[in-house]
Amino acid sequence: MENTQPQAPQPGSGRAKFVVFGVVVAVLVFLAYALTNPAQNLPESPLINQQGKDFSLPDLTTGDMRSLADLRGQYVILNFWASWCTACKTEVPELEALHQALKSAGVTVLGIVVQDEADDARAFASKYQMSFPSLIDLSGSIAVNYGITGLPETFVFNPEGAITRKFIGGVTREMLLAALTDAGFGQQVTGETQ
Amino acid sequence: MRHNKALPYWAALVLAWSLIPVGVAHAAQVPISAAQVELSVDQEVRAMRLNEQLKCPVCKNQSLAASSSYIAEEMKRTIRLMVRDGKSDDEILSYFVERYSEWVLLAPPKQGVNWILYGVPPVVALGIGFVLWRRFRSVQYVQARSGGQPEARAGTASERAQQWLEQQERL
Repeated sequence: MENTQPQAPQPGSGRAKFVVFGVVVAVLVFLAYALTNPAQNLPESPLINQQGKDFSLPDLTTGDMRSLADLRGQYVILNFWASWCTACKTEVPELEALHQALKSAGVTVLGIVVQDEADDARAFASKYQMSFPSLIDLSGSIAVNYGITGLPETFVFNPEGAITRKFIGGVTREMLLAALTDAGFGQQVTGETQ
Repeated sequence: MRHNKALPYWAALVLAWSLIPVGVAHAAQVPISAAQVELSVDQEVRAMRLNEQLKCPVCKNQSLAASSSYIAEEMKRTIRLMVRDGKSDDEILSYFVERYSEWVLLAPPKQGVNWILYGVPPVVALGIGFVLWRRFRSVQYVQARSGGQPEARAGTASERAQQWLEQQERL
């Protein structure tokens, strides 16, 4: 009997399988990249190498208005914090140590309290013996103006008022010293803080 | 004798005037909330549309509209203020891009390498369509070789088996 069930020649089936295989591999690679890259892996801030956006805010303890422009000519470390922020508690001693070591060398540490109550922030500053000044941003407008994505975040300014570095998350004095050095701060003071 | 303990009129007036600076100072410290930024209906629609186009910086791929985080609320307030002040959509989006980079846009702009994002899905869809078309063609080819028609594939399995038996008998 004649074979009435011819084998399917499957024209181009090899290439078709290759295309399907390629698509599957591409999708898997994309998924692996997307799932292993956390959403907070943000690109570098576009504010780097830009002039710092000026602001005028009340001092947390005295209520006196202070502005960023007043600090022109100094290296500035601008730290956004809140009393409820766990990482802020960890980094406060680092910022305080840097402030104590470099306040007479032309480096100003300045805090900005955001998303917090003034009383809670003052209690926090007292508890952690913060001697560097902090301003309070009640509206949060300065936080948005600086592209804040969470707390804490820290900016380093050179004496010309340009932002040279942004840190997302807690900082250490070593990180800040390295950033200051990159911004042109003298190498000789590094030893004083160690 | 009735003793009137109420403040004299002049004293109340002096007290009221003396409290004005305190009230002003307090008002200056308390920012207006997003709800206090009054917009027309058209402006409200624009603000809502912009809230849908921007990403909440502290959320995972969530729009400002879908988020109630502190930063998102402040960004929404900023949008309302800018809409009220007559800023265009492009100006408002650029304001946030200058601070957060293009990452803050939920739909990346159609330029540069971003075209890959827009180009890959249709290319993949075309590729899948091509593969399916080739498969369909190959099935037709097999049926043509076996003397059947594409329509012969229609019907239940038993109907197709019957058709096949009839073909066998004809041979």
